[in-house]
Amino acid sequence: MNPAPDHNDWLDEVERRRLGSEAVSALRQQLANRPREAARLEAELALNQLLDAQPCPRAASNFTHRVLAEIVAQESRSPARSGRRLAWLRLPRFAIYATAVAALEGGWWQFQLHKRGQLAATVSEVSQVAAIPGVAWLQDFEAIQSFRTEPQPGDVALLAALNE
Amino acid sequence: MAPAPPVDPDVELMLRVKRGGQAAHAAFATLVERWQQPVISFVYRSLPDEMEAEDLAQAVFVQVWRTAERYQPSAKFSTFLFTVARNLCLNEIRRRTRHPADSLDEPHPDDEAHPYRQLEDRRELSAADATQRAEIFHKVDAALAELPEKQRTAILLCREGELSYEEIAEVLGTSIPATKSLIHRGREQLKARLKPYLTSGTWNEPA
Repeated sequence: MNPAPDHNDWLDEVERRRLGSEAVSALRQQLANRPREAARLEAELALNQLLDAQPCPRAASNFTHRVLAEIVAQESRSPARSGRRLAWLRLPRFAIYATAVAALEGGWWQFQLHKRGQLAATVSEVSQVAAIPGVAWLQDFEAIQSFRTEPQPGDVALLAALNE
Repeated sequence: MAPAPPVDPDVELMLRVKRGGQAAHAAFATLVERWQQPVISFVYRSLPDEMEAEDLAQAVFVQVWRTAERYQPSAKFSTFLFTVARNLCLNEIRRRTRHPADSLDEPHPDDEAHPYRQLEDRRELSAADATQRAEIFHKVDAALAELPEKQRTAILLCREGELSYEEIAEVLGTSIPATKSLIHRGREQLKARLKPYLTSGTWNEPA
């Protein structure tokens, strides 16, 4: 992105700075024999005049005071910038956070301990009711496992006769 | 041995702000006093909204204070200041684009409290002149508002902030030739849009 090819030094000056009347006179003299450039100079000067004449709201007399008051107010709400100087002011807030976290963690551990105790009691009760059988009980396990599970026709007839 | 280059007084004040302590507030107050009007003018021309201009300018200075710890003296204070100002203006323009209803109650040039009117009152112009001037001011504001943001900002930093090409380039994050080009093209567009007021002799500064 380069300036236009006809962008020259005088144009640069007019676009960049507020020229005094002497500088303007010198430029007009310089371009007196170049009517096209002289016309352009007048257009640039007229534009500068328009831009510089644009009215603008003036700063209120208490502007600086308001800025400083806002800074003080913001610092008191969130002491980020004054952190180093006022670090001790953040201690109470930190203490509150730390206490809350410790209380939550303590409560969680208490809950876990209670749950484990309940589980241990349940396991103890079940173990007394259904004790694991000894190895001798399991010696015919495979033979029993190989028995057919569906009833035989003879068994069904016997069962019917007994029910009569 | 060559003498040490003169220290920019704004940089010195900003370093005092950066160091903190009681002197920071006094140094910052001096900076605000010095730069409040260029910042208000820049913000007002960028939006343009008289109601918002001062509030946003205030936010610019508060932001500068809050980020003072990151300030590097290698950059001129004006560059740092107008970079913050430009960013806040862009945020505000984006916010208004998302919520256009917020800017519907902008003051009209015919309102008594509008800066166009206030200026006219001070200069005691005739009613006809005052109306004509208000119209021209309105046209110039409209022509500025129609420029692409970078062109407008480059022109405003040049005229309102009186920043050099190097400083403008730093604020915009462009090269110096690109900055010159932005200003040149922006001015060409302004001249085209404001041609009737540049050639007819309509504009004459009142004595």
